[in-house]
Amino acid sequence: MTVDLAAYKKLYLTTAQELLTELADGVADLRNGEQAKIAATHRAAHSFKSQSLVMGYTQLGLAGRILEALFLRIKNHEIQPTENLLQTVQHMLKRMQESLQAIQQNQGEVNLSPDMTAIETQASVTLLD
Amino acid sequence: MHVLIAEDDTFFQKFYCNELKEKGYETEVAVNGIEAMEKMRATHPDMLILDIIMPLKDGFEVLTEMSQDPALKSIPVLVFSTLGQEKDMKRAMELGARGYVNKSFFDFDALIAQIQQITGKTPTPPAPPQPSASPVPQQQKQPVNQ
Repeated sequence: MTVDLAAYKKLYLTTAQELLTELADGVADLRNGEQAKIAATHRAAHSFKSQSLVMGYTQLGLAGRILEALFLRIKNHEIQPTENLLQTVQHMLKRMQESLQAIQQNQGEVNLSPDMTAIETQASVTLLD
Repeated sequence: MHVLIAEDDTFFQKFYCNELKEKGYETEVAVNGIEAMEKMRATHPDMLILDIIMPLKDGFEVLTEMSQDPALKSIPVLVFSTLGQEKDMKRAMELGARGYVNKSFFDFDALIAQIQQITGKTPTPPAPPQPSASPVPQQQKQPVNQ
């Protein structure tokens, strides 16, 4: 039995948007040197990844996966986020926002590969972490 | 058949509840590990579908507590897995989970098959919608003006 994913598109766009806002807030906190909400930011990336993948939005799902791996490493004090890295993350979040808007207008996802590669390189995280 | 879904993500709460209800399952949601433990003690579901990453108490802590509680250790658990959580699945199985459900690449038939295989139970399918009892009144045909 296949699930009618189209029936969940509106729900996905609402919850994904909420999670993107949470991610943006989390990154803003990190830029201010605050890590109190890093666990919640990590969970937001995890949820964003899972929802996007199940809906078939692979670029968004993989971007969520990169962010999940990154925020976990920050949470575990394995890396200290630099200003450069956080700017790259903010840029990708903006592109992810554009992607959600494109999906809402029944267009294809935005290509997030360059941003994902930049984060992978700067933070030494990979999709396989 | 009563399934408790421990999941903090609103999207997946609705997704799984909708799809399982259509198949005749009675569903209940817990939004974190603490609530999952409370609801299991209160309602003793036939199965727990458990997310690992949750606030307050994660899925590993829930599995550990369940294994130490004689009243709960018999409740079978399926764990949600997603891309990047392969090591987590191994750990979950070692802590007593009976299987896992891939959240990212969803296969509903596989989920139902796992639930039935693990619990040995099948849900009561929902009743089909009943046709209306009172007949629709026939409209009187009006003569066509020639």
